[in-house]
Amino acid sequence: MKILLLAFNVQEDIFPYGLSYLKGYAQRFHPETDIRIKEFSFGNRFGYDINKNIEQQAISYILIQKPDLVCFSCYIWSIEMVVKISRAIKIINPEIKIILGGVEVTENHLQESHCDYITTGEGEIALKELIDYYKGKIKLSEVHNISYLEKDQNVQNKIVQNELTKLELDTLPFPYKVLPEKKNFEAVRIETSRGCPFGCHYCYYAKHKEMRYFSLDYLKENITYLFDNYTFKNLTFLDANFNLNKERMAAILQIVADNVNKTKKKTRINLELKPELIDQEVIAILQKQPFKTFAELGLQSTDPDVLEKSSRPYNLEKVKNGLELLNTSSVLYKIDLMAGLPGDNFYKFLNSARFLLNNAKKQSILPVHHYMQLNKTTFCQNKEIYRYEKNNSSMIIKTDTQDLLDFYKIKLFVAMLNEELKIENR
Amino acid sequence: MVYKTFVKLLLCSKKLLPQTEETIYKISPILVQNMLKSNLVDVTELNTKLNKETNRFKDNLVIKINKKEDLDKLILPDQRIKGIQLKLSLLKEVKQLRFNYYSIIVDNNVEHLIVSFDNLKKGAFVEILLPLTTYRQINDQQDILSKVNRVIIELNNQEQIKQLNEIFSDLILKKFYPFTKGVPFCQTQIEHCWELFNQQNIIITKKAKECQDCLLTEYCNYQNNNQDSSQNQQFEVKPIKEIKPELINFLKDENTATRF
Repeated sequence: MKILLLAFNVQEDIFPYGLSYLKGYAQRFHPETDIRIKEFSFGNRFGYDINKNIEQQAISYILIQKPDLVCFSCYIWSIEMVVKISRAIKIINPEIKIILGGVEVTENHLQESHCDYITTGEGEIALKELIDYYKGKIKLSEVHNISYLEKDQNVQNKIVQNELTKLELDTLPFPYKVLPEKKNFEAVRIETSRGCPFGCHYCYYAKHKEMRYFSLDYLKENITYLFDNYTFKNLTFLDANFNLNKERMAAILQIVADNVNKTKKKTRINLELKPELIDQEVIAILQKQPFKTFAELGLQSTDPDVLEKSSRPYNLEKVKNGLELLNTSSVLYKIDLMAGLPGDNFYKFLNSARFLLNNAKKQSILPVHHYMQLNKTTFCQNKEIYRYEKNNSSMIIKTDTQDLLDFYKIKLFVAMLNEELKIENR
Repeated sequence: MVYKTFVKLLLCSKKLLPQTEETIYKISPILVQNMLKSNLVDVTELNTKLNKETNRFKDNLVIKINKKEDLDKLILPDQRIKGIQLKLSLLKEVKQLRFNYYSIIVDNNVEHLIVSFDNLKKGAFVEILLPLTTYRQINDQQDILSKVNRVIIELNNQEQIKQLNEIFSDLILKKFYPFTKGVPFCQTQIEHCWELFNQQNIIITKKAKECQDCLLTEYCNYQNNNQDSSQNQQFEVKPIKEIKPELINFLKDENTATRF
């Protein structure tokens, strides 16, 4: 059996982290299966490309490879392309089975893309069990974490989520051991946990409130492998809130520090921190490391009504204290706002911006994102929120209090403000 | 938090954010709290505004240049000011002084506007304040507006209010956040009033009697100038009876030291 795992990125030189998990996990159970990873880069192609060169390249690759199954990893930037490629493949060669996975995929894509399956839970289990199915070991109805059409009706198979059957993270192969062909990257990413205890309505992880962790032994072995075998300048931890558990944070950073000291690699560590949970102990842990640390913090707004509507737990005094500590530390950071959340308006935005300009004193610009509604987030159920594309994650065009004109004006305002802020650095 | 990862990946993937964040999120040498605000002072006031301990000016001072001789007093080798405000006609005189911020008052004489801009320091923030009639003269000249970061259009009568929507539409198409100056808060969307962000420069001497019951009377710069024919500032004002609390929150902090 031959399987292609495909993804599309703008940039080249990105380690295929998620696809490596899929390959590594599936091959643990099906070592004889030919599983190949291929990533396509479409560069800075924003103009109207009438010849669709990348699509032609990808479809040609799939056709010449003659796979039994093609799995597409779908993100916000690639879903439109993947849907069209999937449809094209099914027209040209309906024998090729297609599965779409990733956070961007919803049931709507089953008909739109003509694909055979979509993943509805962790993809590692879905792919491994689909191979089981094609080898005749189990029935299709027994494949977890997938959805498909049967007589035009959507069939949702069981999603693995209980304690007995859920994926133990330590059973996952370390992605950097799965794909050893290339050893030099600008940036590498790893996760030390999955889940987030907070239930922010705009965030995908609100669906996975239960925290699951890779063990420290697993991390020690694999982070050491990463340092011993790869060259990189940036190491990014993908965890939603790296400072959720201070002891664990200290232990993981100690592993990194030991490896930095051993290999003498000049490395910058990127983390996402919950601003309310930054205290002197967190700062002390970060400051004592033999590497530079860059922290990303999400505030989104300072308005109580906006934050409550988004179900984002908040404590602005703690945020303020956390920023004060960061301001006097060696840790670089950025903290940003989100424009377009329900309940927001221009004046609330101004007050939020003022809070950051007054307190985030080491930040030389004001980062503001236009809220993009992600598929599968709680806000997708909110009937007062409209986005640009019906089926795909995309920018918000209307909420209960604002519309696209308001969002665009905020964008222009922020662009102007940030140009003016640059004066300070000249 | 994971939301940010998605959006960041998207933005990076579309090159909307620089890939090396360190370049833009570096430590700022000065606190950044006083943006959009220009604390206008006359050249003669400079010494009183200098902080002797830090040898720096405070509060984003913008020095008003009223005449050519004022420029001679502006050689400030080690002292930071935000920039200068001057009339377009004086702009050709500032070749020797390189500022990061220029606030240019444009009158009706716009013939040499683009040539004058060529004298400015590359990368400087340029703001122009101009009457609506003057804006009409230059609004199809993209080469002029491409050198400008902020356009503030001054209105002075009720008839011009009818054109506000077209002005906003035009500015937005040209990628400017729309700002007006001189328009009473009751006659427009307040977020577009330049005075909302520059309360410290508002001097109110005589309010119109129609403003007495207005909730924003102490924040709006409109005053009864019917007897002042030179300003010709004539609007049909009406009291604002309802406002968003967050607007009041923003205005209340306007004159504090930590406002932007």
